[in-house]
Amino acid sequence: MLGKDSKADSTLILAVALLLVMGVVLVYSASSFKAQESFGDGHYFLKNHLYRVILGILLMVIASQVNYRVWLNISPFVLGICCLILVYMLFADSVTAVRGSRRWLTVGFLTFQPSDFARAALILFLSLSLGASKRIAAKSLQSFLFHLGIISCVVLPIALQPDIGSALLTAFLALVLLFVAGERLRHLVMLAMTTAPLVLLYILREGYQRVRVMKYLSALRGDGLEWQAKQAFIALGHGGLFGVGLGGSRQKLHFLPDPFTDFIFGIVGEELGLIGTTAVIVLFMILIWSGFRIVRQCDELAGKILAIGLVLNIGIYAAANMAVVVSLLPTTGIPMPFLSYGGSALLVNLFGVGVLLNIADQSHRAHELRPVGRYAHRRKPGR
Amino acid sequence: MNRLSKSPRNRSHAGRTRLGVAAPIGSADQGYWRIHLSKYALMLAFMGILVKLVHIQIVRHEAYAKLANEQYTLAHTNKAARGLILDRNQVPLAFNRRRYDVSVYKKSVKDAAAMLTSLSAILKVDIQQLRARYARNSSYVVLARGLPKNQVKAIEMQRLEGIAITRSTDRTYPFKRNLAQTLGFANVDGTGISGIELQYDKLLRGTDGWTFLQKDARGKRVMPIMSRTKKSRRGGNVILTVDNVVQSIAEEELRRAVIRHNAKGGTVVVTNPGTGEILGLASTPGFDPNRARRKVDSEAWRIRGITDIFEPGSTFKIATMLAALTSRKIKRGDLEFCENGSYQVYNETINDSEGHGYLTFDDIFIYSSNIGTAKTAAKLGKQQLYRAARDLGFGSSTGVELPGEVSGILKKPSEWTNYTLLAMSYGHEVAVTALQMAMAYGAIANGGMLMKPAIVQEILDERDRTTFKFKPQVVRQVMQPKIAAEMAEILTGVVEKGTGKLARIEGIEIAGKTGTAQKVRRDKKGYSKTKFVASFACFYPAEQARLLIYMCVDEPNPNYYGGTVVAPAVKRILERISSIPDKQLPDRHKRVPSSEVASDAVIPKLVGHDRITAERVLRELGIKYRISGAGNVVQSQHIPTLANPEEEKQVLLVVGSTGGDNEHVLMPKVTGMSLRQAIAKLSGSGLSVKVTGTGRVVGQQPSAGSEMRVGATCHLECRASIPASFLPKP
Repeated sequence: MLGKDSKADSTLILAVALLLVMGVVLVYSASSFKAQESFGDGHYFLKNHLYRVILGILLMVIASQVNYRVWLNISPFVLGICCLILVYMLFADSVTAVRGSRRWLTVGFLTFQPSDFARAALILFLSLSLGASKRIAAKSLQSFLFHLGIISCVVLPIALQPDIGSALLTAFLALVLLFVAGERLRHLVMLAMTTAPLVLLYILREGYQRVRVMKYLSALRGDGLEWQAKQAFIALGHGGLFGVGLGGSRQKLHFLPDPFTDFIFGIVGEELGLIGTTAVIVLFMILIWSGFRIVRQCDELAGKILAIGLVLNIGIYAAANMAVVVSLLPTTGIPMPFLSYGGSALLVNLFGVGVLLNIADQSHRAHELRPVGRYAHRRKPGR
Repeated sequence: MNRLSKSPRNRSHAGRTRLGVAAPIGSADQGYWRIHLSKYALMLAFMGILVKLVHIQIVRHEAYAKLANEQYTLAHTNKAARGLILDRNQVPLAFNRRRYDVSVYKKSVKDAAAMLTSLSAILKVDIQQLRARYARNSSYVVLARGLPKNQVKAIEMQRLEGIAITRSTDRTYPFKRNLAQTLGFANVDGTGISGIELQYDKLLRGTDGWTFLQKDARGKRVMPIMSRTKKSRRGGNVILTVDNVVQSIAEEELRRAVIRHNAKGGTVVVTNPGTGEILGLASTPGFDPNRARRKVDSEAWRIRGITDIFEPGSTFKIATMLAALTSRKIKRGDLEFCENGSYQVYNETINDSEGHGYLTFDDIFIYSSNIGTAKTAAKLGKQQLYRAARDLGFGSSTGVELPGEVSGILKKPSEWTNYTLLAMSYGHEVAVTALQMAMAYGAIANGGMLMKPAIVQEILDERDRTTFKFKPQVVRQVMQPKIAAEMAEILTGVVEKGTGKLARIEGIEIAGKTGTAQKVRRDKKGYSKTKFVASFACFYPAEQARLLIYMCVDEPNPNYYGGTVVAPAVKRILERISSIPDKQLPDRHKRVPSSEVASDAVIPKLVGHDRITAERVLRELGIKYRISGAGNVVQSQHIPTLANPEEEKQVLLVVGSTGGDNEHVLMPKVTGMSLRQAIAKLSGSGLSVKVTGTGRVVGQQPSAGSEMRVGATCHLECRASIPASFLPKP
């Protein structure tokens, strides 16, 4: 799996592994009370989380062994199916709304958020489409509009579920990819200027989102925080520098909502203190750093864009989740990559890491071969 | 990478756009800044979050830690059990019963209608009422308060959702209206509102404890923090001087007299004149302290014996009598012309109820001539009468340990008119309380000492240590014993042949004095012709008196004389009390029950009580009993020795038509018991105990099964239960 010159890859794997371990420990700590209360089994959520971690690692290993171009090539079909599912979810009766939102799809005993897969498919497809040329070239307006259309096919159904947080992050991620891939700045600025008011209008129209945003704004002015934000602050503040110790969190006793999913970072802060939260941030920064090293090493434009997309998919989500916990962003349901209990996001992220590793692997091979090109035939079997 | 950056296309497009659109990826030129920008922007975002985290976790750590602890802990008060109020024979007059409150967490209720329906069936409460309570705008509402255990069990069996059952205590006054004003009552929070409950609130209340509990956000208690708990300590007990049997007799007769004579109200005080102990203190209208919380009724709550003042009328003549006898100006044989019933003086008319000619000093009081008394007083002068009245305790409070006592009105001689002297001589233009009156007569009865009245005999603190024990307190020597004896003799005449004849009991020498006072008119212009206060004071035996009764009845109608309205009632009280055996015997061995009366607690002495009351008390205390005999008065009580110790203890009540002298108990078998158990058992049977030695009971005298008179003394021989081998060898 690893090439010989693979310092970045091993760092990446180490960072992901450490985050996963932290995630398992904290999910257990934060969920056992609720699990005991709801299911009479303190290990209930831990077990489910472990299954998913194992499944995710399996996916990662597989992805690292499969040439990433395979994924790029099938991405149009995957994206098409994902869009269809997203649209289907808006109308299907079998999709039950949870807390007023149709985000989750249950197939058999599995419950997952199709938006996670759709986002991954979108990243793949954009990489394929934007990376068609061999180098970054000024893109035409047609290209811009085409990609915008594709992005809308994913983002709009997610926004209508409604899952504004996910929709905005997906849109943001996709636009960053367009930006990186060389779409003209003037197109992007024009787009931002036209859509931003529309997005704002849409958010302020919706009941609970409006309330959240208003509360967020009033909190910024110092008018007191809403319950969740306040409890997250108390969790973090209570932890102090060293934390109250693993398992010692009391905020998980119904004070902090979603303590092992969206607000697990708060529990990190309470149990492990600033040391713990800083460690998580550093791990993510290492992950991003090594991710971008892979980007740099990759010679192929599509591979580069894909690698950026996968790294940002983790990085932006982590940053957004933390920003919500420390009230820099209004509360919205974004899980913390690798740490949070959660199905599809964890699987998609681990799959993404696998793909990243494969991209790195492919670049290493290319680099290895090139300087010794004359002897390449020796390596090829049958020659 | 290098190969790409050297691409010729790169250069050809470089000048065309600032964006470096054509720059190959990864090269150091313009195309790469977009990737760099996205990477460093993300890194910057993380750094920003880190700064915010440092602020929250380090700078504001203290503040948030405080907030956290505030929301995790819940201080829970452990309410202390309120102390008991007992009568002089350990009969509990106020105790606590375990009760339960039923509340509901609305959030956990799925089917409110069904839940309320089954609750209403169990509680036998109208469902509309429950619905109204349930509809209150709160997530946690109390549906029912003060339920007994059996109902709560029924609710628990149903396993209704969201129902929470909490323990509470209910202050109970088993004798209801009996002694109600004196006892007063405590409210739902266990705070004394009136009477003894108010006066000794601090003692009775005990010390509340507290527990700090960890809780979760829904207020559910998660676990107690052990190091932060303080136990509650129950309140101390107050043992009154009141004898509940005497009290209930006095209450009953007072009520009977008030009803019979259409009176507005009345007060009766029964004391032991030798010591000043109040044995009974009753007034009407009364109230049931068990229900007092519902509505304020200060008319009924007042302890009228100490809060209400009135012009006493002829019962006050003892002041004139005392002044005359101490002055030696007047001899008991001196005659006074009583103007045949009407005497004009200082533009006022003094009337006697019956016209008299010449009366001796004694007869003036025996036949209660106002004119004779006034003329006697005129000879004595203002100072003499004032001093006598003041010495008898009028015009100053008695200092009894009850809330709300007033001192009455006794004007200074300098404020008197000439007529005041005359009016006061027969009990007008002076205002007294019933208790003052009783204490003044007590001074005559006990040979000249004015005693301080006592309502509390003993106070036991929270650890059952005696902190106060009653000792008779003399306020002052009012008169020589000889004068007291002379006055008692005159007062005996009142009952023998005078206005108090109706109180006469064959074979007993009773000293008494009647009083009939006109009430001051509402408009304060003179005295009413139709409204009177009838009163009667008496003590017996006339020498070495042990019992004193003062009763006054407010506005009896149409009959209004003290001699005809009150004297017969007092006589009935005397008769009934004297039929109770050894009321004034020294107290028996005491064992004070714990604050919560359980079935194995002390069994009150019920001898002398009427059967219905006795049964009610035993039921309230949850003690099983059996009744033998016919009749309405409990003659004796005992706890039969049981063959099978597993069997529940039972009290055997022997009832008869009167509480006669012939009450007997069977001596129980106590050998082998610990001394404590033996004493408890014997005193429960109404026997006194003398003990030699310590430890276990090894011998008893008389033997088990012998018939003994209630109150008789039995002897127990005890030996230490330590095995001989442990004792030091000689």
